[in-house]
Amino acid sequence: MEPQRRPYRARPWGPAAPALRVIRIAAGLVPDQVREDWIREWEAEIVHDLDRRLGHGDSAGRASRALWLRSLASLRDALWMRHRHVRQGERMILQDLRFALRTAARRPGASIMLVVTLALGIGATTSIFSVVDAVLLRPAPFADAERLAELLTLHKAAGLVSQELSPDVAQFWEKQSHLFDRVERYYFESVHLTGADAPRRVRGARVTPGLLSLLGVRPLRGRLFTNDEATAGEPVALVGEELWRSTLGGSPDVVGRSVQLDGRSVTVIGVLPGWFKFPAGTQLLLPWTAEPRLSDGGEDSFSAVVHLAPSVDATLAQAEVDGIAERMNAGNPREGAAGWNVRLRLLGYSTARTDTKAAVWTLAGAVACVMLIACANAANLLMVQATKRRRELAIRTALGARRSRLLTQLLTESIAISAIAGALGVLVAWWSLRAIIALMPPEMTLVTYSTIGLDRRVLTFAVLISLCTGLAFGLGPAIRFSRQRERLAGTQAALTAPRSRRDVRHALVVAEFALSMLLVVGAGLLINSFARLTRVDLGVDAEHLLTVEPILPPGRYPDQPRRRALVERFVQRLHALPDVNAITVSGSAPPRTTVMIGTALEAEGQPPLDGGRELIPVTFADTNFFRTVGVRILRGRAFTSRDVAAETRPVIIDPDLAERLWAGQNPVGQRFRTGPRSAWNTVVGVASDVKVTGPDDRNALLAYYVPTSLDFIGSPSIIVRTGGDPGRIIPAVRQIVRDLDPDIPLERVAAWEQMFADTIMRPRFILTLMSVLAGVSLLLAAIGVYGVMAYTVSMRTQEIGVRLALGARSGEIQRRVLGDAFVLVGCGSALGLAASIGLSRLLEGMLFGIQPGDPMTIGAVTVAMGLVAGAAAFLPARRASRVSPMRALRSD
Amino acid sequence: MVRRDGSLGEYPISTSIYQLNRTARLTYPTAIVLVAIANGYRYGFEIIDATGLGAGTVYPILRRLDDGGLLRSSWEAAVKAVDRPPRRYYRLNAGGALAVREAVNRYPGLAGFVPTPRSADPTPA
Repeated sequence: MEPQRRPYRARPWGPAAPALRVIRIAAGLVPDQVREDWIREWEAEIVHDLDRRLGHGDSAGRASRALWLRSLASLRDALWMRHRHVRQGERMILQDLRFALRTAARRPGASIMLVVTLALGIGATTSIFSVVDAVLLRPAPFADAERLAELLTLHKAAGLVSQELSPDVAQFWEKQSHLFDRVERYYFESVHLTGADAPRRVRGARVTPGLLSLLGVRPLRGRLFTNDEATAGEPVALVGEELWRSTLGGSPDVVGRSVQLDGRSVTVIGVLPGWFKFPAGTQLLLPWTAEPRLSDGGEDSFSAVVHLAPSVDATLAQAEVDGIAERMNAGNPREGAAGWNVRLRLLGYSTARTDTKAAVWTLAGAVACVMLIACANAANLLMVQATKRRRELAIRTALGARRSRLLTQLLTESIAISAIAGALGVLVAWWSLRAIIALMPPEMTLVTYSTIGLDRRVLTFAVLISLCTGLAFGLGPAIRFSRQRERLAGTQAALTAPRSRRDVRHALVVAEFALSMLLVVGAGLLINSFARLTRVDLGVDAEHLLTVEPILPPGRYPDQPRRRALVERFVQRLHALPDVNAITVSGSAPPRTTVMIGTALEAEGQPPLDGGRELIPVTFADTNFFRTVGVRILRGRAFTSRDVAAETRPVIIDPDLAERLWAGQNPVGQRFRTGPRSAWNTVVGVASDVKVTGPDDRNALLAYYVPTSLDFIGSPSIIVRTGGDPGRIIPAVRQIVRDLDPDIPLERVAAWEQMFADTIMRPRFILTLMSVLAGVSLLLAAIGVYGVMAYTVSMRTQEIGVRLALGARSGEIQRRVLGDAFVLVGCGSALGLAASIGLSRLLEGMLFGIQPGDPMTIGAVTVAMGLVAGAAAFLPARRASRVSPMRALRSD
Repeated sequence: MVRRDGSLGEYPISTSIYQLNRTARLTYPTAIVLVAIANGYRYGFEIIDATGLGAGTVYPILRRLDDGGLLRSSWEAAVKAVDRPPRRYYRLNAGGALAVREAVNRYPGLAGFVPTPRSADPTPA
C-alpha cells in the first residue's frame, strides 16, 4: 500500500531539536530568495542522519550531540551563501554600469551635453566650496580654539572694530579674571631684514612668550621663546615657514643663524609651521618688549588674545563683556567714542570681516543656484532620453524585469554620468581655483589657515555632491519611467509623451530661467556698480602720479637728522630725473591715509556733532602736496613751511567737512576739534574733494589735511608727478635707491592708479566670480531651452508635417515654436525678476552708486535673457520649419 | 563534444573546464567532492561522510559546482521520503563528468581515496 503523502515538517523537539535550532539561526544569514530551500535541505539531512544513527543503535543523546556538532557547519555554509549573494549584486552593478556606458555612447550628443552641464555645475560648486570652507567654515587649528578670543576695540556708533586696544582699556580687561583666565599680548612691528638676498621689509609682531603656547603651536624646527628671553629682551626671533623658504634659503641649519633685523643682529631660534599665520599673516615673531616704540599713533596700543575662564559660556561671554563695559562707561567715561567697549572675536569661528563673510556667502548662494540649474537641466535631458527609451523599457518589462531592477539600472546610469561629470568637474575646479586664488583679496587669504585648493575635504565634498547630483536628477525620471510597466512595447501610446510629463519639463525650464535671471540680475548690478566705481572721479589727475615708498631701517637711520638727510638727497636725485615735474613727501600717502575712527567732531561755538559714526581720513601734506597731487585750493591758502610748527594747528579741510561743520559759511579762520580733550585746529583753506581712501569713500567722506615736513617723517611716502607714463621712470627710481643705500628696501613703487585699483580688489573679486557664475547659469539655461524645444519639435514632427501638408507656411511654424519658447522664458524671467527684486537687497552693501532694483540693469538683463533664449530656440524652430511633409507623414 | 544531457551538450570541453575554473577552482577538496559524486554519493551528508571533509567545506563546493553548471540538483521524490523531509540530491552532468576526468588526471591518487561506489541506494526517480 502506498504510504500517505503529506508534507513533512521537522519536529522542533526530540534529539534533532538543538541542531534544528542552529539551522534556524544560521538561516537568518541566507538571502531571502533561497532561504526556504536552504532550510529544507539542511533539515532533511539532519533528520535523515538522525534516523540513520538511531538505526545503527546510537543512543538519542549521542546522536543529538553528533548532529548538533554537524549543524554548526551550517553557519559557514550560510555565510558563504550571503557572500555569494553580495558578489552577485556587485556583478549586477557592473553589468548595469557597462550597459549605462553603452547607452550613453549610443547618444553621444545628449550624453556630452549632460556631462558638460553637470561638470560645470560640480566644478563651480567645488571651487566655491573650497573658498567657503577655507574662509568661513574651517576654524583656526589652535589648541582649544573654541575658548580663545581676540579682544578688539569696539566703536559702537560706527559699528566698527579695530585691532588695537589702548593700554588702559587692555589693562582693565586683563584684570577681569572671572572672565579670562589667560591673557596674552602682541603688537605688530614691521622690521627691516638684511643679510638675506635682498633687503626686505617683513611684517612681524612682538608677542608675549605665553601666546604661542596658548595657541598651541609647535615649531617646525628649533624651539619657541622662553619667559626669560622676553623679559631680558634677548635678540631672538621665530620665522614663518614661508619666510624661511623664500628668503632664508629653507635650509635646516637656519636655527641658530643670525639675521640682521633693523640693523641689529638677531638669532633665529625656530621655524613656525606654514599654517600658522597669526597674527594676520605675519612671518616673523619677536619676543614682547615694553620699550617705547616708534609708532604713528603715538600711543603704545597693542592687541590681546584671551582664554575664557572655565565658568564662562563662550556664547554668552560677549553679553557679559557688554554689561561690564556699560557699567564702566556710565561710571568712569573714557575719552574717545569707543569708551570701554570691546568685542570678543572668537578664534573658533571664522575671523573674516562681516562684509567679507557676506560676500562669500553670496557666492555660495549663487553657486547653489548654478548647481540647481545644472540638476534641472540634467533631469530634463534625462527625461527626454528616457522618453525616447520607453520602448526599450517596455520590452524589458515584458521580458520580466522587475521594477526595482529597472529603477536600479536607471539610477546606475545617472550616477555613472554624474561620476564622469564629477571627475571632469574636479578638473574644472582645479583650473578655476588657480584663477580664484590669483584674484583673491588679501583680506580673505589672511583669515584662512589652510591653503585653498583641492584637499581631501574638498575632494570628499566633490564626490558627495556628484553622488547627490546623480540621485537628484536621476531619481525623478527613474521613478517615473520604471512605473510604466503596464505600457506595452510598440504601441502608439509609447511614442507621444503624456501631457503631465511635458508640464514637468516645462516647469523645469521655467525654474532654470528664473534662477538664472536671479544670478544675471545680481551680476548685472555688480558689474554696473563696479563700472561706476572705476569711473569715480578721484578728484586728481592720477594718470601721471607715481608712489615711491622706501623703508628706512631704524638701525641705520636712528635719528631724524640722518633720516632727513637721506630723504633730501633722494628727493634731489628724483628731481634730476627727466620728466619729473613735482614731488611731495609725507608719512603716508593716499590711499593709505591715516583714518580716524569714532571721532566726535566739534566746531567751536557749536555742540559736538552726533558723531562717532564717521571714518575721517587725515592726510599729512607738505607744502608741495596740493600742487603735486593736483588738489585745487578752493578757498584760503595751501600750507606754508611755517604751518608745521604753528601753535594755531592749521589744517585744510575738504568741502564735505566744511559743509558739515559750517554749512553755508566761510570756514576759513574757523576752529574745530576731534574730541572733548583735543586741541583746536584752525582751518586755513578748503581743498577740492579728493577720494583719498579710494573710489568707494561712502564711509570716509569728511577728510582734512594736516601739515607735515621732513622733520616728522619716519619712512617717507613720496609722490612724483611725471610728464608722461609714470611706469617709465620706475627702473631709474630703483637705481637711485640702490645708489643711496643698497640696504634700503623699496616697499612700494607703483603708479597711483594701480594703488587705487588695489583698494577695490574685493568688489572686483566678487564681481568676477558672480559674472562667471551668471554666465554659466545662462549657458545652462540656454541648453535647457534648446533641449526642450528640440525634443518638442522632434515629437511633433508628424503634427507639423500635417500642418505643412494642409498649407501652413514654414514661417508660421517657426513663429509658433519660437512663441512656445518665449512663453517658457517669459514665465521664468518674470518669476526670476520678482525673486531678484527681493533678493538683490542682500547685495545692497556690495553695491556702489546704484540701488538694488536698478531699472536700467534689470531692463538690460531682461533683453539679454530674451536674446539668449531666442538664440537657443532658433535652431529647433528652423528645423521645425524645414520638416518635409512627405517624410513626416511616412515616419512611424 | 559530448552530448549526454541537454544542458551542457553543446559546450566544447574547454568550456566546461573554463566554467570550472571560473566558478570553482579545481582544488583538491573540489576534486574529491567531484569524484565522490561520480562514485554515486548523492546527498550532502553522504558526500561529507564519504570524503571526510567538513560540512562547511563540502556545501560551498557543491553550490559552486551547481553555479558553474557542472552539477544538477533536484529534490528527492516525496514517495521516497515518507515520514521525513525530502533531501536534495546532486548529480553530475556532462560538464561535471569532464571535470571528474580532469580531476583524476590532475590528482592521480584520488581514485583510491574515495570509497568504492555504493550500490545499495538506488537512484531516486
